[in-house]
Amino acid sequence: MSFNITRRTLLKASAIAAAAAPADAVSGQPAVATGGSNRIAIIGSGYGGAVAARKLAQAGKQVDLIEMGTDWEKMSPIKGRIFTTMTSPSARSMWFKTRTDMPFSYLGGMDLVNRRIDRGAGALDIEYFANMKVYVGRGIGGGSLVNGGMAVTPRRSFFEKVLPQVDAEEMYNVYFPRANSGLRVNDPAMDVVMNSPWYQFARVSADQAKRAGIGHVMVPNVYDFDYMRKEVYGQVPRSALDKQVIFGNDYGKNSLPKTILKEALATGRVNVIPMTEVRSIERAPEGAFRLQTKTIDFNGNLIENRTREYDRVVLAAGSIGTTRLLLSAQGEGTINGLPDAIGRGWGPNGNTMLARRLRTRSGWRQSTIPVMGLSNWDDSTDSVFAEIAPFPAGIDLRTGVYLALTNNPHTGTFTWNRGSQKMFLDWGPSHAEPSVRAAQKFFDRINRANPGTGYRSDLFEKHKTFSDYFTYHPLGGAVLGEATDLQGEVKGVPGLFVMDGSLIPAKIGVNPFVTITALAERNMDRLVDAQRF
Amino acid sequence: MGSAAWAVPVLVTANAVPAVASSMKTDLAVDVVDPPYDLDHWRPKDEVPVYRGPRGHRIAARGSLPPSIRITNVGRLTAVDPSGSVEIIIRDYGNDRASSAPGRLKAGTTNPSVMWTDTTNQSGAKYKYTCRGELRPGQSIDIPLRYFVNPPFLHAEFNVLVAAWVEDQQEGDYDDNSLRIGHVPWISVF
Repeated sequence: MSFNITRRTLLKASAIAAAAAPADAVSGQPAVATGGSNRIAIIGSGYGGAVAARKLAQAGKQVDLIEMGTDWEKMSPIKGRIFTTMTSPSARSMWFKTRTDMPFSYLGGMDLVNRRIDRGAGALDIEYFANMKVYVGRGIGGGSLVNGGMAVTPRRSFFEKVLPQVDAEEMYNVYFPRANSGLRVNDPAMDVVMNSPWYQFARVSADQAKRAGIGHVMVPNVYDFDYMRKEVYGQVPRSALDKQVIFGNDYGKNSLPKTILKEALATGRVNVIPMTEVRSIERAPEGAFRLQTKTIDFNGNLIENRTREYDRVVLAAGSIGTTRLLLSAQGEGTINGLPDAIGRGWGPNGNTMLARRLRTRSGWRQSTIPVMGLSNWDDSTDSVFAEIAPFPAGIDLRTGVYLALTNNPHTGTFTWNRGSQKMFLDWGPSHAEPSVRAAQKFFDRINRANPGTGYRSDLFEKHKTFSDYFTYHPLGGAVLGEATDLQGEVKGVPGLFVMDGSLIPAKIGVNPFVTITALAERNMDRLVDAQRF
Repeated sequence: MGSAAWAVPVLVTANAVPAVASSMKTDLAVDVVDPPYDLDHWRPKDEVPVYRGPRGHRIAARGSLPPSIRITNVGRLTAVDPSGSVEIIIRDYGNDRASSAPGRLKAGTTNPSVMWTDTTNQSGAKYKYTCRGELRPGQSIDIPLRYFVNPPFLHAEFNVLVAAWVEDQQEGDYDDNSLRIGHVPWISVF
């Protein structure tokens, strides 16, 4: 067996080009670069962007893959690691923050969790709105860099309710299997879950749920569980077993740079342009799309401002990034004909997080890769699918942590404010209330069945017992069949496509990345077959 | 922390291939069978015996341990005398440290058609095995594991890693290696 970490060896001409940018560009003055005919840009390198890049490249198309974050595969390790642990954050942890901002703000009501860090182009970012914080990944691989890898195919009945415009038969026969295969989804290692100390927290929570008559679900993951077995034994460098998750994962996790993006890059037709933010999109009179881009270095220093021109643009910047680009284009009038449905149908996938006092040991060692959930899901508004999440504090807190995904009927709407040049979200506590209510009903039952257990209210902001102000799973904003046609091409704007979580209206009942990947596979098949590129 | 510790052991075995199909390759898979679990109470099911001594019948402890290793011919050629290796390492459960006695939990097999050779060194209990006979495409052979410790042996709660490899001519495929983690609550034999 070989455990050498494979690093991409492909030369990325874009990075070199950026380093050798003309003087006027370096000075911050816009320069115009013409992409030529049939030039295709993909904005964002998460799940949708990766699928689009691979599909187009394998179809013989040359594409520019523009990513505002770091190309982590090219970063030099520090003390053997590219990414940081949750307990030793650095500039690599968060996107230009001077302090970490983790989901748990407090411990015992005290400000012990977050740490001061240097500013840099770190892996985890937070998009802040008035009543909502949205966690997003930054870097080649997007959200795949910072999530827990829980790879869940939604219940078909719920998928059909959320996306009735999509042929579920085809999705479940063709595209979900293809997505799971491409993402290297595998079942959790039951021997590690049941026999190792690293999942005691999950076993305790599952046992307490069982006493309440609530069943568990083993949750597939993209993590390599053979690697984890060796981590248990200290035979390989640790990542999941050494507090790596939301700030990136060095080993074990098959994030996109090791799977779909790797295949895309192997074609030699994908030109990766990292550290480059697309600030705006304009449609030129002759029909081409002009992207105003800003390239920075890791410390945030400006490398160049530039105008790039393309004939086709695939928006895969995630629910927030894509919606912002579309709304700003609509609001500033740089693209005519954008549909009114842009910005609508947004939701946090019913996310609400909570913690329980277990009154029994949960273990001072906790793997950061969740493998189990609790579920009563029946598609009603009482439905809850709760991930049993780790709390890798390094001490035994006798605490169970859960990310509850609920069937919240509310949706939010983004609007563009021309004065501030910012996007606003109308989501508030009243929108989140059905999620909190469903989660409380679900966990009250577990607490009642386990005397002495109860909620912790000393971890979240404002001493909330149920978080209603952050999400890991932003969905919607450019919903399939409403803002776009049934293949993801924006209505009224030929040549502009959406290929990410924006297409899914508000919720999907499980961690969404498998659905985003499968939907992108479906849409890209149709678009390429229809010669839309 | 060397990956060398996990390199496929070099084996000198007779993994013969019929001459008529020299362009084809044998393709074998190995599975370490899951230890038993108690899903009703979410804990290891400690029912696999660990014997006192290699041939004794006195049980020193019971654990949630892989009961066997299964070799399956997943190719299209009959494999002759399939062979491979097994490694068993124990690790402290309570303190996340390598055990001071990593190779003291040993194993044999009760399958008389399997030639089982002890190659243990300081890092763990190691064995080579050869399953005598032919294994046709689609067929499997089980190698039941019989765990034992030699007294005196005293050890608090520990995990057990059972790693198995099988040799074939289909190099580099994922199913030539299998790992499972077991658990033993404690052992005390004198």
